[in-house]
Amino acid sequence: MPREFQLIGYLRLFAEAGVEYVLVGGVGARIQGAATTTQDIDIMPEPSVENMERLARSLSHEQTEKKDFGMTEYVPHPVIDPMEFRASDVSSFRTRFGVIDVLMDLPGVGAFDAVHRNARRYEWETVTLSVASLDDIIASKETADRAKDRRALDALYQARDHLREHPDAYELSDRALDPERDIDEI
Amino acid sequence: MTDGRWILDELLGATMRRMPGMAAFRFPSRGDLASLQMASTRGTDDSARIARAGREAHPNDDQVDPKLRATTEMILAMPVDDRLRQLEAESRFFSSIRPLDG
Repeated sequence: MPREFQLIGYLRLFAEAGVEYVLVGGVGARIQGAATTTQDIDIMPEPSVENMERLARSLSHEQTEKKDFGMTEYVPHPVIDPMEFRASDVSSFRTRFGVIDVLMDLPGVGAFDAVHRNARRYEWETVTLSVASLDDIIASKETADRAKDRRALDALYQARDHLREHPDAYELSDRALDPERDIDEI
Repeated sequence: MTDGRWILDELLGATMRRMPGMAAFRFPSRGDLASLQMASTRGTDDSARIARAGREAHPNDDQVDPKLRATTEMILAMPVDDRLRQLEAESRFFSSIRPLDG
Protein backbone atom coordinates (compact mmCIF):
# COMPACT_ATOMS: atom_id res chain seq x y z
CA MET A 1 0.00 0.00 0.00
CA PRO A 2 1.61 3.29 -1.05
CA ARG A 3 2.24 5.87 1.61
CA GLU A 4 2.95 9.53 1.24
CA PHE A 5 6.30 10.89 2.31
CA GLN A 6 5.86 12.94 5.44
CA LEU A 7 9.16 14.40 6.50
CA ILE A 8 7.59 16.14 9.46
CA GLY A 9 5.88 12.92 10.50
CA TYR A 10 9.27 11.26 10.78
CA LEU A 11 10.85 14.17 12.64
CA ARG A 12 8.04 14.22 15.20
CA LEU A 13 8.12 10.44 15.53
CA PHE A 14 11.83 10.42 16.34
CA ALA A 15 11.58 13.42 18.65
CA GLU A 16 8.82 11.78 20.65
CA ALA A 17 10.71 8.48 20.79
CA GLY A 18 13.97 10.16 21.79
CA VAL A 19 15.88 8.75 18.84
CA GLU A 20 19.29 10.37 18.28
CA TYR A 21 20.39 10.58 14.65
CA VAL A 22 22.04 12.69 11.98
CA LEU A 23 20.05 13.68 8.90
CA VAL A 24 21.97 12.90 5.71
CA GLY A 25 21.05 12.77 2.02
CA GLY A 26 18.63 15.04 0.22
CA VAL A 27 16.80 16.41 3.24
CA GLY A 28 20.08 17.33 4.90
CA ALA A 29 21.27 18.99 1.72
CA ARG A 30 18.09 20.98 1.27
CA ILE A 31 18.16 22.22 4.85
CA GLN A 32 21.56 23.71 4.03
CA GLY A 33 20.31 25.47 0.94
CA ALA A 34 20.85 22.98 -1.85
CA ALA A 35 18.27 23.29 -4.64
CA THR A 36 17.24 19.69 -4.35
CA THR A 37 14.11 17.74 -3.70
CA THR A 38 13.75 14.27 -2.31
CA GLN A 39 10.96 11.86 -1.58
CA ASP A 40 12.61 9.93 1.21
CA ILE A 41 14.57 10.53 4.35
CA ASP A 42 18.06 9.23 5.11
CA ILE A 43 19.29 9.05 8.68
CA MET A 44 22.32 7.76 10.58
CA PRO A 45 21.32 6.64 14.08
CA GLU A 46 23.60 6.95 17.08
CA PRO A 47 24.64 3.30 17.40
CA SER A 48 24.15 2.63 21.11
CA VAL A 49 21.97 -0.37 21.94
CA GLU A 50 19.41 1.83 23.68
CA ASN A 51 19.10 4.23 20.75
CA MET A 52 18.81 1.42 18.21
CA GLU A 53 16.03 -0.08 20.30
CA ARG A 54 14.20 3.26 20.32
CA LEU A 55 14.60 3.52 16.54
CA ALA A 56 13.37 -0.03 15.97
CA ARG A 57 10.33 0.55 18.19
CA SER A 58 9.46 3.82 16.49
CA LEU A 59 9.58 2.31 12.98
CA SER A 60 7.81 -0.93 13.88
CA HIS A 61 4.20 -0.71 12.79
CA GLU A 62 1.62 -2.90 11.15
CA GLN A 63 2.08 -0.96 7.89
CA THR A 64 5.89 -1.06 7.87
CA GLU A 65 7.62 -2.75 4.95
CA LYS A 66 11.27 -3.51 4.29
CA LYS A 67 13.31 -3.89 1.13
CA ASP A 68 16.24 -6.20 1.64
CA PHE A 69 19.53 -5.55 -0.12
CA GLY A 70 19.37 -6.55 -3.78
CA MET A 71 15.60 -6.99 -3.73
CA THR A 72 13.25 -4.93 -5.85
CA GLU A 73 10.12 -4.91 -3.70
CA TYR A 74 9.17 -3.76 -0.25
CA VAL A 75 7.57 -6.59 1.75
CA PRO A 76 5.59 -6.44 5.00
CA HIS A 77 7.87 -6.15 8.02
CA PRO A 78 5.83 -4.94 10.98
CA VAL A 79 8.36 -5.73 13.70
CA ILE A 80 11.94 -4.52 13.42
CA ASP A 81 14.74 -6.08 15.45
CA PRO A 82 17.35 -3.49 16.47
CA MET A 83 20.09 -5.84 15.28
CA GLU A 84 18.76 -5.59 11.72
CA PHE A 85 20.24 -2.14 11.32
CA ARG A 86 23.72 -3.52 11.89
CA ALA A 87 23.32 -6.26 9.29
CA SER A 88 24.09 -3.92 6.39
CA ASP A 89 25.31 -0.39 5.75
CA VAL A 90 21.85 0.66 4.56
CA SER A 91 18.43 -0.64 5.58
CA SER A 92 15.46 0.60 3.56
CA PHE A 93 11.96 0.72 5.02
CA ARG A 94 8.63 2.05 3.88
CA THR A 95 6.39 3.10 6.72
CA ARG A 96 3.17 5.08 7.04
CA PHE A 97 5.39 8.17 6.64
CA GLY A 98 7.06 7.00 3.44
CA VAL A 99 10.47 5.62 2.51
CA ILE A 100 13.33 5.86 4.99
CA ASP A 101 16.90 4.67 4.66
CA VAL A 102 18.81 3.92 7.86
CA LEU A 103 22.54 4.16 7.24
CA MET A 104 25.22 2.74 9.49
CA ASP A 105 27.99 3.99 7.22
CA LEU A 106 28.05 7.07 5.02
CA PRO A 107 30.03 6.22 1.86
CA GLY A 108 33.31 8.11 1.76
CA VAL A 109 32.90 9.47 5.28
CA GLY A 110 32.44 6.67 7.78
CA ALA A 111 30.28 5.70 10.72
CA PHE A 112 28.09 7.82 12.99
CA ASP A 113 30.92 9.41 14.99
CA ALA A 114 32.70 10.66 11.87
CA VAL A 115 29.52 12.19 10.46
CA HIS A 116 28.29 13.56 13.80
CA ARG A 117 31.63 15.27 14.40
CA ASN A 118 31.14 17.51 11.36
CA ALA A 119 27.37 17.85 11.62
CA ARG A 120 25.60 21.18 11.93
CA ARG A 121 22.82 21.68 14.42
CA TYR A 122 19.49 23.24 13.48
CA GLU A 123 16.51 24.26 15.55
CA TRP A 124 12.98 23.40 14.48
CA GLU A 125 10.20 24.25 16.91
CA THR A 126 11.55 22.76 20.16
CA VAL A 127 13.60 20.10 18.41
CA THR A 128 17.35 20.22 17.74
CA LEU A 129 18.29 18.47 14.50
CA SER A 130 21.77 17.27 13.59
CA VAL A 131 22.44 17.57 9.87
CA ALA A 132 25.47 16.09 8.11
CA SER A 133 27.74 18.77 6.72
CA LEU A 134 27.47 19.53 3.03
CA ASP A 135 31.06 18.39 2.63
CA ASP A 136 30.14 14.98 4.00
CA ILE A 137 26.97 14.73 1.92
CA ILE A 138 28.99 15.65 -1.17
CA ALA A 139 31.65 13.08 -0.28
CA SER A 140 28.97 10.42 0.03
CA LYS A 141 27.51 11.31 -3.37
CA GLU A 142 30.93 11.38 -5.01
CA THR A 143 31.76 8.00 -3.52
CA ALA A 144 28.43 6.36 -4.35
CA ASP A 145 28.76 7.75 -7.89
CA ARG A 146 25.38 6.56 -9.13
CA ALA A 147 23.69 8.48 -11.92
CA LYS A 148 21.33 10.22 -9.51
CA ASP A 149 24.27 11.13 -7.27
CA ARG A 150 26.13 12.71 -10.16
CA ARG A 151 23.02 14.65 -11.16
CA ALA A 152 22.72 16.06 -7.65
CA LEU A 153 26.33 17.14 -7.30
CA ASP A 154 26.07 20.44 -9.15
CA ALA A 155 23.35 21.67 -6.80
CA LEU A 156 25.37 20.50 -3.80
CA TYR A 157 28.53 22.23 -5.01
CA GLN A 158 26.56 25.46 -5.51
CA ALA A 159 25.12 25.28 -2.00
CA ARG A 160 28.54 24.58 -0.51
CA ASP A 161 30.10 27.50 -2.39
CA HIS A 162 27.33 29.79 -1.21
CA LEU A 163 27.74 28.61 2.35
CA ARG A 164 31.48 29.27 2.22
CA GLU A 165 30.99 32.73 0.79
CA HIS A 166 28.20 33.60 3.20
CA PRO A 167 28.86 31.67 6.40
CA ASP A 168 26.39 33.85 8.28
CA ALA A 169 23.70 33.73 5.62
CA TYR A 170 21.26 31.53 7.43
CA GLU A 171 18.51 32.47 5.03
CA LEU A 172 20.00 29.67 2.95
CA SER A 173 17.01 27.54 3.79
CA ASP A 174 14.77 30.04 2.07
CA ARG A 175 16.79 29.73 -1.13
CA ALA A 176 15.53 26.21 -1.44
CA LEU A 177 12.03 27.61 -1.83
CA ASP A 178 12.91 29.92 -4.70
CA PRO A 179 10.79 28.67 -7.63
CA GLU A 180 13.24 30.17 -10.12
CA ARG A 181 15.98 27.78 -9.08
CA ASP A 182 16.75 24.57 -10.87
CA ILE A 183 15.78 21.60 -8.77
CA ASP A 184 17.58 18.27 -8.81
CA GLU A 185 16.13 15.09 -7.41
CA ILE A 186 18.44 13.24 -5.05
CA MET B 1 -24.35 35.41 -17.28
CA THR B 2 -25.60 37.32 -14.31
CA ASP B 3 -22.31 37.92 -12.54
CA GLY B 4 -19.26 39.87 -13.62
CA ARG B 5 -17.80 36.94 -15.45
CA TRP B 6 -18.97 38.27 -18.79
CA ILE B 7 -16.66 41.25 -18.33
CA LEU B 8 -13.70 38.94 -18.04
CA ASP B 9 -14.96 36.96 -21.02
CA GLU B 10 -15.21 40.15 -23.05
CA LEU B 11 -11.74 41.29 -22.02
CA LEU B 12 -10.21 37.90 -22.70
CA GLY B 13 -12.11 37.69 -25.97
CA ALA B 14 -10.63 40.97 -27.06
CA THR B 15 -7.20 39.75 -26.09
CA MET B 16 -7.65 36.47 -27.91
CA ARG B 17 -8.78 38.20 -31.07
CA ARG B 18 -5.40 39.88 -31.06
CA MET B 19 -3.65 36.59 -30.14
CA PRO B 20 -5.07 33.81 -32.35
CA GLY B 21 -2.78 31.27 -30.73
CA MET B 22 -4.68 31.63 -27.48
CA ALA B 23 -8.09 31.10 -29.02
CA ALA B 24 -8.70 28.04 -26.86
CA PHE B 25 -8.33 30.04 -23.68
CA ARG B 26 -11.40 31.53 -22.10
CA PHE B 27 -12.88 32.00 -18.69
CA PRO B 28 -14.57 28.70 -17.78
CA SER B 29 -18.33 28.64 -17.46
CA ARG B 30 -19.95 27.10 -14.41
CA GLY B 31 -20.46 23.92 -16.42
CA ASP B 32 -16.79 23.90 -17.33
CA LEU B 33 -15.81 24.41 -13.69
CA ALA B 34 -17.91 21.43 -12.64
CA SER B 35 -16.22 19.37 -15.34
CA LEU B 36 -12.81 20.48 -14.14
CA GLN B 37 -13.64 19.49 -10.57
CA MET B 38 -14.74 16.08 -11.76
CA ALA B 39 -11.57 15.78 -13.83
CA SER B 40 -9.51 16.58 -10.75
CA THR B 41 -11.14 13.70 -8.90
CA ARG B 42 -10.66 11.43 -11.88
CA GLY B 43 -7.01 12.46 -11.99
CA THR B 44 -6.25 10.41 -8.90
CA ASP B 45 -7.84 7.33 -10.46
CA ASP B 46 -6.02 8.00 -13.72
CA SER B 47 -2.69 8.30 -11.90
CA ALA B 48 -3.19 4.95 -10.21
CA ARG B 49 -4.20 3.42 -13.53
CA ILE B 50 -1.12 4.82 -15.26
CA ALA B 51 1.13 3.53 -12.48
CA ARG B 52 -0.48 0.09 -12.73
CA ALA B 53 -0.06 0.08 -16.51
CA GLY B 54 3.59 0.98 -16.11
CA ARG B 55 4.16 -1.92 -13.75
CA GLU B 56 2.36 -4.29 -16.11
CA ALA B 57 4.35 -3.05 -19.09
CA HIS B 58 7.68 -3.54 -17.30
CA PRO B 59 7.17 -6.38 -14.83
CA ASN B 60 10.84 -7.34 -14.80
CA ASP B 61 12.41 -3.96 -15.27
CA ASP B 62 15.47 -4.23 -13.06
CA GLN B 63 16.81 -0.95 -14.41
CA VAL B 64 14.33 0.99 -12.30
CA ASP B 65 15.54 2.00 -8.87
CA PRO B 66 13.09 0.24 -6.51
CA LYS B 67 13.14 3.16 -4.10
CA LEU B 68 12.39 5.61 -6.88
CA ARG B 69 9.58 3.39 -8.07
CA ALA B 70 8.18 3.11 -4.54
CA THR B 71 8.21 6.86 -4.04
CA THR B 72 6.71 7.43 -7.47
CA GLU B 73 3.90 5.05 -6.63
CA MET B 74 3.30 6.96 -3.42
CA ILE B 75 3.05 10.27 -5.22
CA LEU B 76 0.79 8.95 -7.97
CA ALA B 77 -1.53 7.32 -5.47
CA MET B 78 -1.77 10.41 -3.29
CA PRO B 79 -4.83 12.65 -3.63
CA VAL B 80 -3.79 16.02 -5.02
CA ASP B 81 -5.16 17.92 -2.02
CA ASP B 82 -3.13 15.79 0.40
CA ARG B 83 -0.01 16.31 -1.66
CA LEU B 84 -0.51 20.06 -1.68
CA ARG B 85 -1.02 20.14 2.08
CA GLN B 86 2.11 18.08 2.53
CA LEU B 87 4.17 20.34 0.28
CA GLU B 88 2.90 23.37 2.16
CA ALA B 89 3.88 21.83 5.51
CA GLU B 90 7.32 20.95 4.19
CA SER B 91 7.79 24.46 2.84
CA ARG B 92 6.96 25.86 6.26
CA PHE B 93 9.47 23.45 7.78
CA PHE B 94 12.31 24.43 5.47
CA SER B 95 11.63 28.13 5.97
CA SER B 96 11.29 27.91 9.75
CA ILE B 97 14.33 25.79 10.57
CA ARG B 98 17.24 27.84 11.94
CA PRO B 99 20.91 26.96 12.48
CA LEU B 100 22.25 26.86 16.01
CA ASP B 101 25.94 26.76 15.13
CA GLY B 102 27.86 29.84 14.20
